[in-house]
Amino acid sequence: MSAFTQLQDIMAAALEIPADAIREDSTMEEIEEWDSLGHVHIMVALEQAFDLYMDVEDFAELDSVPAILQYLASENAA
Amino acid sequence: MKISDTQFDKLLALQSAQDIKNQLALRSMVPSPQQAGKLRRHLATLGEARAVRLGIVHTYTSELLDPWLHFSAALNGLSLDIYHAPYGTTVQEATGQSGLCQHTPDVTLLLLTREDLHPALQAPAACINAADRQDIQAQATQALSGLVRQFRAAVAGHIIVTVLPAQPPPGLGLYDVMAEQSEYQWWNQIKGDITRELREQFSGVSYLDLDQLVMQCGRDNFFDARLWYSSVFPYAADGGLAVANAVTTLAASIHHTRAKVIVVDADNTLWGGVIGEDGINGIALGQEYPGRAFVDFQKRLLSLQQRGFILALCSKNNPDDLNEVLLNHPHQLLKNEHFAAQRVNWQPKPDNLRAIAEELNLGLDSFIFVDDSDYECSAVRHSLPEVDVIQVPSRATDIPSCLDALARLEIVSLTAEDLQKTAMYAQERMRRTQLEQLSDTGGSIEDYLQSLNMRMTVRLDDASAVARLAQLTQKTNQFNLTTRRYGEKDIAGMIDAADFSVYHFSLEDNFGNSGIVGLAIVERANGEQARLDTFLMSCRVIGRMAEQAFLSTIVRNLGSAGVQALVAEYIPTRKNILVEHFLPENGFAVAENGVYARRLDAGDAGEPGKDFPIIIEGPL
Repeated sequence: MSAFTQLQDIMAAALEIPADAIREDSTMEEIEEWDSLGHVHIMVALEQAFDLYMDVEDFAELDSVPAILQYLASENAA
Repeated sequence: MKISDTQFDKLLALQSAQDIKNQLALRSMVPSPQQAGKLRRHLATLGEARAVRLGIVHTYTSELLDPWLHFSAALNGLSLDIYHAPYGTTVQEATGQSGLCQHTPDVTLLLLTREDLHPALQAPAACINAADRQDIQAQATQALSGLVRQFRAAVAGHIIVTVLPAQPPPGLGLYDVMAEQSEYQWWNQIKGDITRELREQFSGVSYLDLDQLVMQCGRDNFFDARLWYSSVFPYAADGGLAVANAVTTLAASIHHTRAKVIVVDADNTLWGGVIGEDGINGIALGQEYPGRAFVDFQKRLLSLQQRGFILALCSKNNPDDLNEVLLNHPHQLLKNEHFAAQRVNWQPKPDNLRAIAEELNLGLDSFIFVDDSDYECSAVRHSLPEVDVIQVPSRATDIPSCLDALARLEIVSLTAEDLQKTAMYAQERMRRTQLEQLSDTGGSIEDYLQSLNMRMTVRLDDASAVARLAQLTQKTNQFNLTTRRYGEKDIAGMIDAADFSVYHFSLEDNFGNSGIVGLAIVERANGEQARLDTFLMSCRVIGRMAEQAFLSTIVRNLGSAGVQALVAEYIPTRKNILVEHFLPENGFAVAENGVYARRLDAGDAGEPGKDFPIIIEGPL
C-alpha cells in the first residue's frame, strides 16, 4: 500500500468521510470535515497508526495531504 | 495498549459485544480510529442497539470524545445521539429553551473542572490555609449542588456529574499524602462531601469518579498535555476511551433490562479442577496459584451480592461432593447461605436455569450465566437467548476480573433491600418448609398464612423511599398492572404533587421483614374520581394475600378522603398475565375501552366479608 492510500484510509476513518474525498493534493481548507476538531482526530490517528509522538508545533503545520506525506517520509513512518 | 493486527482479527471473530468488551478491558486495548470504525461496523451486525440521547455540558472541549463515545456505546449495545452545549456554558443550559433541553436527553453528562466548583481550587492546595479550606470545601459543595439542582429541574433522565482530576501530581510531590495540608487528602474530603450531598439531595444523579479512571489508566496514559495545551482537551486515547466507556456503561445499566441473578457453575469456575475427580484436597482453591485466583473470584462474587445481585449455583455434580466443599473446604468463601437457589444434578443446564427462574419467581432475561464450558455456554445461548452468558476465561489469572466489564452489573443506587436480598430468599426457603410441614399434617393454606403472623405497614408519599420505588417500577414485570417505568425524579415529583398519592407497603412476618415490596400510584383527577396509575408488587411476597390487603387499605383511604370511584386498567405485556384477572376479582367492574372502575361510596370501602390474615398499619 502506498503512503498516500494508507493516509487516505486513516484520514477517511478520522473524518468519517469516504476515502475518495481525499486527494493527493487536498488541503484543510478544501475538506469541510477537516476542521480544527477533525484535525486533532487526524493527528491522533497518525500517531497511533505510525507509532509517532508529534509535537504540538507540528499539528499546525500539517494542514495538507502533501505536508503530512512529507512529514511521514521525514519520520521514516510510511 | 495498541491492538496488533493478529489481536484485531481475533476481536473481529468474536460473536458478542460483551466478549469484545471483555477482551478489550482484559488487555487494556485501545483501538485506533480505523479499528474502532471497523469494530463498530462489526458490532452493528451482532445485535440491535438501543437509541439513547446524550447531552453534554462542558467547561473544556468535549467534541473530541465523540468517536470514543460512539465506539463504547456500540460495545454496550447503545447508539448515541449526542448534543454538545456551547463551550463553557453551564447554568445557561439549564433553562427551558436551551439546546440541552430541546435535545431532551436521556442522559446528561456534566464535564466540569475543579475551578468550576470554586475559583480558589485553581491555586495550589498547599497555598490555602486550614481555616479557608473549610469554607472553600463547603462553598464548593454548595456550588455543585446548586448547579445540579438547576439541571435536575430542567431535564428528565439521568445526570452524570464529573470533575476533571488534577493533571499534575499533588503539589507536595511524593510527600503530599503525609502532609497536614495534603492536596490529595483534601480533594477526597471535598469529594466525600459532594457525593453525600448528591446522594441525599437528588435522585437520578450519579457522580462518576474520574479519579478511579486515572488509577485504572495511569496519569500519563490518561492525560495528553499536547491536546490540553493546543485544544483544551485533556484526554489521551486511553483516557478518552475510559471516560467514554464509563459513561456509556452507566447509560447501558440504566437503559437495559436490569440483571438480578448471577448463576455460577462450580468446577473450573469457583475453583480449579473437578471435585468429582480431584476430590476436596485436589481442587485448586487456596493461597497458592491458581487457587488464589479462584478465591479472588469468589470475593468478587460476594461484592456483587453486596451490590444487590442474587447468586445461584448450577453444577453438574453429585450433590454430596459439592456440598462437602461448601461446608468443609477452608478456603471456600461462598457457602450455602450465599446461594438463593441451587441446582446440583445431571440435568441439562437450560432446564436447571428454567427451574431456578421459577423457584425465584424471576424472569430469565434477568439472569447472567457464568460457566467455563464451551458446551454449557452454547447450550444456554442456544436454548435461552434471553440469558446473558459469560464464559469463564481459560487463563486463571483472567478469571477474577471476568465480570468487571458487564454494564448490567453496574448500579446507580443501593437500597437497603438490595443488601438483604439473598437473606430474604433464604427466609422464603424457610416459609416453604413451614408450608410443606403444615400441609403434611393436614393444615390448609389459611392455617399457613395465619401461622406466619403477618404485619403490613402502608406508607403514603414517603420521600425517603424514592430510590426503592423507582427501582420497583423498573424491575417488576409479573405482578404489575400497567408496567409503567419511572425514574427517581418521576417518583419524587408524584410524591410532591398534590393530585398524586404514592402508597407503598412492607410486610413483616415470623421469618423476617420483606422491606418495601409493593407500590401503588393514584392520580386524583378531580375530587370524586381517582385513577390507579400503577399497582405492582414484588413477586417475593406473592401468595400471601398482601395484594388484596394493600388494595383494600388504599380503597379505604381514598374513600375516607371523599373519592367515590377508582378507575384502573390492565395493560397486558408478555409477562404480566398473572394479574390479568386481578381487577375483576377485586371488586372492579369492566367499564369502557378495557378500563375498570370500582365504586368507593358504598359505605364500607373495604372488602366486605373478606378477612386478611394480616394486621395492617397505615397509611402512615
